[in-house]
Amino acid sequence: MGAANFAETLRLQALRRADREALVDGADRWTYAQLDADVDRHAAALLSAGIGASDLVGVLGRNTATYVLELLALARIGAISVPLNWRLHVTEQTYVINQAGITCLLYDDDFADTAAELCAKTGIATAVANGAQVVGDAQPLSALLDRQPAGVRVPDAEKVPGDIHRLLYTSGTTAHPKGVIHTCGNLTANHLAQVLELELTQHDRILISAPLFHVSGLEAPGLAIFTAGATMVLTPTFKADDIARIATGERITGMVLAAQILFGLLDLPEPPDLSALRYLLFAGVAPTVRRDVKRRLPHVRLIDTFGMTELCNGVCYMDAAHEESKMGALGAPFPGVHIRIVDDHFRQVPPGTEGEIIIRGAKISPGYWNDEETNRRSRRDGWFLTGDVGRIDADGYLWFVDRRTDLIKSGGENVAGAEIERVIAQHPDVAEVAVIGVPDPQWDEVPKAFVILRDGATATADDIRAHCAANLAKFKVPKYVDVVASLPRNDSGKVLKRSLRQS
Amino acid sequence: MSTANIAAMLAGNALRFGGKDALVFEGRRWTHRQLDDDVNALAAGLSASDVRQGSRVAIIANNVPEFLILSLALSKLGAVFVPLNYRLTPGELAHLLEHAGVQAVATVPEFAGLTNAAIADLPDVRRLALEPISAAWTDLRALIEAHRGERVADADLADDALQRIIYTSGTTSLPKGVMLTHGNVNMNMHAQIVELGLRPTDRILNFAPLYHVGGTDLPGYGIWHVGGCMVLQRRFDPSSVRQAIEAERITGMVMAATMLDMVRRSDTPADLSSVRWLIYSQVTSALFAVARELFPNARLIEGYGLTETCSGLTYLDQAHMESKQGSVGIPVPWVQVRVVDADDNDVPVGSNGEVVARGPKVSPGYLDDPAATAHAFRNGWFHTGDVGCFDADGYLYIRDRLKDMIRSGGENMASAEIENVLADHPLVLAASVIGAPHPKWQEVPVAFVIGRPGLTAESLIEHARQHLGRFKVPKEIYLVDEFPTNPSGKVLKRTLRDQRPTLHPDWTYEPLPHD
Repeated sequence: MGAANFAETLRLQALRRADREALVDGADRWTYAQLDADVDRHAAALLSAGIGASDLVGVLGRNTATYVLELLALARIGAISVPLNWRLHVTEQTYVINQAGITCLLYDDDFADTAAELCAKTGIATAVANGAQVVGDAQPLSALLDRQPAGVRVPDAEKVPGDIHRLLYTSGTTAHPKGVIHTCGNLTANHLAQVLELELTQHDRILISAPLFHVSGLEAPGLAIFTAGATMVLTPTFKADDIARIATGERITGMVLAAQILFGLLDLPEPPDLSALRYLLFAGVAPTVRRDVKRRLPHVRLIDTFGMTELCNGVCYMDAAHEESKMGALGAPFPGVHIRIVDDHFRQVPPGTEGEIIIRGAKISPGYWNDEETNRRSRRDGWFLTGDVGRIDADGYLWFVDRRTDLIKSGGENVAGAEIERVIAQHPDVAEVAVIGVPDPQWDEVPKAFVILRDGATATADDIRAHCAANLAKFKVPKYVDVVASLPRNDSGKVLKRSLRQS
Repeated sequence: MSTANIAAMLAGNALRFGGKDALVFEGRRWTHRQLDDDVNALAAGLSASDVRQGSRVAIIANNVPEFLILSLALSKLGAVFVPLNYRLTPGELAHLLEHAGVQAVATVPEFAGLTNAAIADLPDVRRLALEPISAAWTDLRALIEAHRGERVADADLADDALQRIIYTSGTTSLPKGVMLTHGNVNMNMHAQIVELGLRPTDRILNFAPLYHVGGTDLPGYGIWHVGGCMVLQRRFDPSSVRQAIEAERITGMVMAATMLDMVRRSDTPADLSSVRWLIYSQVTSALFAVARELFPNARLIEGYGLTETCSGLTYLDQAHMESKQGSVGIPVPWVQVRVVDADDNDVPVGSNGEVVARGPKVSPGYLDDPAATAHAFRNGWFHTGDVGCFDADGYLYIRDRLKDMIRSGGENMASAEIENVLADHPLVLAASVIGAPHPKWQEVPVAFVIGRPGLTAESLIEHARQHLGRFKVPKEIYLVDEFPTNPSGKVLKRTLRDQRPTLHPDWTYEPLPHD
């Protein structure tokens, strides 16, 4: 009980910090008072379009202020938002909309064609056009907004912690996308953890470059920016020069960035002024790369994390004191989060021993939407089973070993592809690497590496194998090494190993 | 490792902030690592002497580090601590010790006699010494040394596990045992962190009594959750406060309104510029000016909270520090506050009603008192017993305690309303108004006032007549040097009522019967 509806946070911030900047999107700026009032206006507009408290509402748009306003307005109304991944094919979108039972759709001009097809093929009854491209019976947002009286207020719907705030479909590296439930209580738990772990205050200015249909855009720290009374700054693209310009001009203090974008940023002819930057959040980066970043940005806290949509973003952030001494670890658990390593019989293993990572706590999603079968398989005794392999050291720090499904079984040994990747990444000529298991008549499976070389580098497959042989047990040395120009990735930048296996 | 145990933060702090100050007291210092070590050692020692999950241990002491270390060691084990007010009589303490069902009681030499008297008829209660007392008392410092290096796992607790039982002062009836859970304390720490923008660089000065939420929860333990430092003082002393602020570069603290002027009058020279926030309550405009002058860099926070809400429920924000003076602000994160009528319906903006609250930091109820719990927590909301109103912007104003309402000739008047008017007089530092028995009107307001030199009762009455309805103008004025207060600085109106018949008023409208 209590203020479980996130929109209530905004209401109070509008009093506490009326004149402080809340949101920046290009040249457009909102103070907390303006943002709260604009959320009221959008909530009234969406209500007038026929969207109600129990509706599931798909949102198909780019990272814009309108997107943020709509998400907050849906929270205020008490509707369940379903941020949609616009990179999916329309047949995949159709699957999501039908599986979720979405009846309302909000869409940007760029996705009008998809919206038209979805309105025709699915049970969508109400559509709102964020821009000028009106398809079918859609109502233009601008007209809905214009009809709202000045100063309109919409009360925050009463919510308890167990009520659903949103559904977030995971990118689906293994099967169909699954609708992860985020409750109001999950958000509260994540927001207090973000404020504590990132030391967020009203002086922070956080850049959101990850898509708002991903948990990293929404919750790392995402909406927690508003809990802290800080400023959220949006970027229209992931291009290095756009991010550089905004990071410099807006005096950004924290952001999430993929390593490749970060290097693009630092290698610009006119590198950005990142003197205001306090922290950089990125996951799964090799220690060599991390050291390189630290050398170039010594004043910035570099944070590794272990996060998933099902965990409402990260469950641990690497702390500043252990950046160097525990490099490669993902940090210690957030308050209120319990991480455990278990063996195949669900027994807790001693510190330092590898096993499956299982997690429980207030920020963990209660399950997948309308998918009892997966819920049963992924949960046991109140724990969420991540399917990932890791270990926890004697100090309680989590170390990632591998995706369980990416384990290579070779000659009776389990081989972690990630371990081989880490070694290959240390070769001076290697820019990126991915390792999978491929069938082998003698050993069941053997490792195969796909390698992208740095510009101008000349290493051969044999050089890479020799490097591995010098650093790894014999059975872990890739039998095959392919030097390639690119790797298949999903939207979050995760390499699609399934595609590699199929190729 | 556990999900809700508040002691879980200590191990993380030891790793992250190991070498940083956590606790400072009379020349002794603990880093975050040493604090974690001491709590572990004490938990090991207690565990060996039969303290376990669910055990209850009372503490009767002023502010010493071992008070906090013991409270966290108990929390670590899933045991419950029962802080008790050392100003109670042995008989009152005995009743509470029995009510709480404690297996042990911890104290300091100063209160060993009091504690012995309290447990005279409770032979099973073991005696623990926070500071060495005698052989009859288990010395906790020695226990820590005996178990140094041992580590104890945090009990795996759910949010609703009891962390503390804290008895409210109970001005009208017997004290009630407010239950505070680990979930309450956790959510309070997070609310304080967000509200005060706490960071590892923050250093708080703490002289608020540790047997009140003001000492342990405002932000209390919360400073450790962010890796900051608490400078603890045994008791309030204006000169030591000044010295500690300069020496320890204090960034924030809680102070009762009446203490502000004492700090101002202390002539100990000190640089107080490091203070960036100060929490107080019921501050008059004269005292606001004092605070402004003393702490020019500080956000001055008028706060409102109760034991049942695990301290601060509303805070006045920085932007409205001046424009909403007199308001206690808006709800802290994750709690909801309403103002309701007798049927729990919202009253209109600007109207008075009872303040009610709910949220994850609100207590689940009173220990072994289902009737009081059912009454105070009816319909899912905690009923504070305070009268307040919201303004059109959503700012809360506390008018009075329900029981401090003065009933006069069929009118109910809020003593706080009269106090606020008196406090607006430029020479008034503090005012306290009570109802005095009256043969015709049932009760009439009389005022006790602390003033600056030059204040006369006549000028005060003139001021009151200009701003108050006739029936609200005090019928007697007592100019005094101080108010009787409890250790948190709350004025004891009950004592004022008791004292009044023995005092001579400085001004009187009509002679009143002295009952």
